[in-house]
Amino acid sequence: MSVPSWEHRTSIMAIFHAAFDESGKADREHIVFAGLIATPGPWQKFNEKWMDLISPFGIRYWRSLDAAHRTGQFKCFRESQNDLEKLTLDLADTICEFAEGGSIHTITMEQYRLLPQTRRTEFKDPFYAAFHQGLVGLATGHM
Amino acid sequence: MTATDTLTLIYDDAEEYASECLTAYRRLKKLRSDIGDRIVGLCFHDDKHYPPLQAADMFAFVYRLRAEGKLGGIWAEVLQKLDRTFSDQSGSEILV
Repeated sequence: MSVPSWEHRTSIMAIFHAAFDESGKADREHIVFAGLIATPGPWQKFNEKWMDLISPFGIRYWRSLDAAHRTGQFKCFRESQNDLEKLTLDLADTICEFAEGGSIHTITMEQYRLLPQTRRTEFKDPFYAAFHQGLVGLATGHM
Repeated sequence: MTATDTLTLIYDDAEEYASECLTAYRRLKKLRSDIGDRIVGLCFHDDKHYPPLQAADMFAFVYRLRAEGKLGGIWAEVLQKLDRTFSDQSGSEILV
């Protein structure tokens, strides 16, 4: 058995963590899957900065739909729209600062309806077709 | 990322979807060995306790708003920032 070169051994140790989430379910015309990629070190720094930004407002975790409608934890921003806007932009900047790659993939219900019946049966639901699409895109994309 | 780098996928631990997502992931790995070599693991986290998933939520949210023609206000600025930084996007056909 041959021993891999040091270069090879170090290269295979780069394991990225891809945080993967969707927006939209089968009741919407579009389902979007997004992936953000970084190695564990940058993700740790990201976590610290993210929590430093949201914690002063008493927010324990970010949820965009709630933020957009100022519901749930985001009710506190009903009288302070500027604070919420600044927070939202600061969080977006933090994503751009720490994530080393990003991938976004969308399917529409029209695309799903045009798939052969065998594939629709396999997927069971447009949601899983979108999940599949997101995975393929994430794995084959150029980030 | 280089061609030899691998990904561990972290997805939101939603009770109604997680099990079938795991099935879909395993099916895809069988269908496409190149993807199996790239995405080498899948685990589930509660997004309330994992900020990168909250960030992915924001990322997906603004692109859905754009796809639905509902983008406006602060979300348009968020999208501009993300668009400038990340460019890997698709929306044409369902990939095999």
